Amino acid sequence: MVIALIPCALLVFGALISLFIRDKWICNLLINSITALSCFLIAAAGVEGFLTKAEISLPLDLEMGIDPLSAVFCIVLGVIGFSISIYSIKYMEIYDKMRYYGICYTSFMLAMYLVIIVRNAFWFILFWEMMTLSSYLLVVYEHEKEEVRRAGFKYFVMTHIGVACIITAVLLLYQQANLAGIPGMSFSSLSSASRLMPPYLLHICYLLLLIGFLVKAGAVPLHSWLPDAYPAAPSNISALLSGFTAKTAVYATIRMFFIVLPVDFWCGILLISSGLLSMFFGGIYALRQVDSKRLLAYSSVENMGYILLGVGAGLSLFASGKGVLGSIAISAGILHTVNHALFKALLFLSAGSVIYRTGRRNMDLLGGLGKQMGVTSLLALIGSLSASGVPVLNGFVSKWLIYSVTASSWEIPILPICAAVAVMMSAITGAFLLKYWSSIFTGRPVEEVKECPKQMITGEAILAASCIILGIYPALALSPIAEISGELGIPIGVVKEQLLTGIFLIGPVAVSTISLITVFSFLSLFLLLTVAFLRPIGIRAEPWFCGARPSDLRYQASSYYRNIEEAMRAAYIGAPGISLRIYKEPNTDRFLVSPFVRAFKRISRAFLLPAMGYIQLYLALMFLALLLIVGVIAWIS
Amino acid sequence: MDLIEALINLALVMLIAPILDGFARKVRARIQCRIGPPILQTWYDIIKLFKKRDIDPEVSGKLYSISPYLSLAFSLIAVLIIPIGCREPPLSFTGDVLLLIYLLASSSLLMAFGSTASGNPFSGIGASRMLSMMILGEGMLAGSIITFSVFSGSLRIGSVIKILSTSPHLATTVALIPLAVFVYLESERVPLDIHEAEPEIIGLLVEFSGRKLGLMKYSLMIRSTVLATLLIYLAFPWWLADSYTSPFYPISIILWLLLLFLLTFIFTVLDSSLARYRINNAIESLVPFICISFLSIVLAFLGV
Repeated sequence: MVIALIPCALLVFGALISLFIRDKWICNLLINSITALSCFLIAAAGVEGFLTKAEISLPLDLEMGIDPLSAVFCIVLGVIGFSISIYSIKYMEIYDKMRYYGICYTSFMLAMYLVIIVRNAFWFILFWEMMTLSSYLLVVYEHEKEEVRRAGFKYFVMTHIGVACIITAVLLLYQQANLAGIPGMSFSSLSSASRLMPPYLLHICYLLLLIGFLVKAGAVPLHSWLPDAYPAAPSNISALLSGFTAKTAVYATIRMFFIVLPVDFWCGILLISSGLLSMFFGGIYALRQVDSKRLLAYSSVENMGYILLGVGAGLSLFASGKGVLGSIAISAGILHTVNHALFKALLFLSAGSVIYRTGRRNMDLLGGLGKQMGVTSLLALIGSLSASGVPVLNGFVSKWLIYSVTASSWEIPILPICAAVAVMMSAITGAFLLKYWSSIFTGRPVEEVKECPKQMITGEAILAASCIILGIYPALALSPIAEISGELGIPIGVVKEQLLTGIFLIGPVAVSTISLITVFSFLSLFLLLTVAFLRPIGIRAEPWFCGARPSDLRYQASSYYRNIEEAMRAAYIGAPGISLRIYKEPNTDRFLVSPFVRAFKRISRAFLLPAMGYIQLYLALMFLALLLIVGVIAWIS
Repeated sequence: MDLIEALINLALVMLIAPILDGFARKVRARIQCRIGPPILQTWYDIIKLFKKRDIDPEVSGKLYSISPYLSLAFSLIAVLIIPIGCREPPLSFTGDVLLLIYLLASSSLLMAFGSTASGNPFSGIGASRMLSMMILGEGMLAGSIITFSVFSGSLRIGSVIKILSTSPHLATTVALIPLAVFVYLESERVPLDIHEAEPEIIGLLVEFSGRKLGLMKYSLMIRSTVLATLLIYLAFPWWLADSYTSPFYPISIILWLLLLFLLTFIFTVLDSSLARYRINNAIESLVPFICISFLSIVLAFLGV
């Protein structure tokens, strides 16, 4: 367990020294190297946690532990954090304010790590809040820009509504623990307290926690901060936000709803419904975007839908007594979490590479970078195909597992219907990622650019390689994930057998067989045809433009799916008949966020009332407050 | 995985797919009062295309050159998952229906990625149209496949067909409608051949020539044969042998061929007698079928 504490120390050290280094270049290099090193150690701690199930208790009730669930997330954080940090060494050169970056980045990393290993509700909330705040500071990195400040403020408000919900739920549980005489706020004592809770209170707890976690996950209908915040942040931060911060919500959901609190059927149904909505709306909004990072942000919402579908199905199946199937559903959800972290971080980094070289996110104005940025284009292609679920790459395995589980859960009729929707949404994923890739990288170059520096390519290549490896050999991720079911009280052996070899699938064995057959048949086709028809060498020619001058012609990103957008306009605006040109995404903020902001403003205005500029009045108020406090203390004791 | 059966199936589909296309061309010619090309004409075309010199656009990327191979590879793997003549397909496991959907979709998707990689904006138009149609198509396909699996309580094509053969029901009959429309859509026939755009010359395959064009066309034909076979066996699940050694096997293969030609005939007659849709008409005409496919899932749950 000592190894688990080293990254914390390193990251704190990193945050401290970044205060004192004035040189931009050294500070950048040092911070990113320290983070990369600590991410490596985080992954190592995850592996160690698997082998030993370490637990540690520090003063002030700071209990930490790495069980298989935490370990899986530790390894994911380690891998993507490592590659993002390597990427950032060069990427952050286009930004200033290195000390600001240093402090925020290291504490963000530290908070994410601590959130997934801590075992005490008080500290969990503290670290969760630290994660939210440091990520907020990173989102508003370019706070000179008006739209960045707006996006950041929205993020700040919405996530804090979420945190408020979580705190309330935990306090309710804590109060129950106090009533029952259970000391402390550790997860285990809250767990035993929740078993004694009256049902209506427990359900309020469920609902509050659910709101808190879904806001962080960016699930529809609580997603509206996400498509603004992700594009506003620097790309490496977007990659980390989408790749891991949203995943901490998945972690917390599994930890709370499966392990700490008793499993609840309707909670699962709520998760499933939110997943279904996220999948649907995330997919069709992504189809419309012309901003590359905004498109990827909506794609994150969509993928979060798949994950929530898996986890929610697991919860409902658990609650209705189908433990083994439920475990498989959760495993599918967690596998998709892992895969999504990998390919979405890769895609955000590739969008970042494009910004690094061209400074643009608008896909209408980009094009033809594939010739000059060959490797970046290839890596982005791997990410896109993986996210669309093409076999041989990792996205396919987890999506297929999710469909298989949900389609065979005949006991809960909503699940097979969700599976059908999910399959349809998967085609939409392919469609918008085609738009992303081809409008940026194909066609005639619009400008002269150079390939990105090696550090950036290395960072992306690590992620792309993991996408391919997990696609061909998914058991590498699946067998650790199967261990998690042990904590849920399901025999690991059974789940492992079902996942890896059993009737459920001839499993990753079959999947990897599929991948191997694919690779094999592709190669053999290629060789066979090349040998059998030794062809004359091809010639290069101008593309055929129907006689138009090539320079006149570009197929813009915004025109890719015009027709299908027209057909689905009801889903975009809520009321048919309004022209698509003036459409905005349905503004859920209007009734979900704005009331809170307005109420908050009104309350703060009430506090302004006595502020009339008389120092005597202020002193009198302070004296009154003091009297009040003394009175309360006297009354209590 | 049964290797001999796999090889037989592959050989059958690879041989038959171009012949079916030749047959369709012949039928269309007869409807238009022409004599038409010989039935093996598509085979001759493919072989000729394989021998020809390629012309690559200057702005094309690597993916442009390899996507035809990848697309064909995915279509060929899909052949291993459907039963032909035998009740059990060569590659059979729980969830193979979902894999089939994915393999066919991946084959289309790689075709689209490859064609945009050619750098021609017209290919981009073709690709985006193809994917627009695919989104709706996948909806129909997923709905009807899930209906079959809910009805039969299994996600294996082999057992689905076995259970279907005992008693046909309303739900599965309803689910056949969107499936048939999807098969029609995937075999690129008027009025739904939006992305191929033969009358407009420009389309998905505009920049492909020589062997790449041959591979793409071959991949399309194999895909539509696979889907037609699936449709045939879900509609007529009775005439399947237990294994390729059983004496009934040759008869079931002949029946399969007959049904395949019959289906091609019906499709071609429809194709020749209809006019092409604009893309927005095509999209709007498919939406009701998605509704039908989801309705059929509900029917399957109600057990009718």
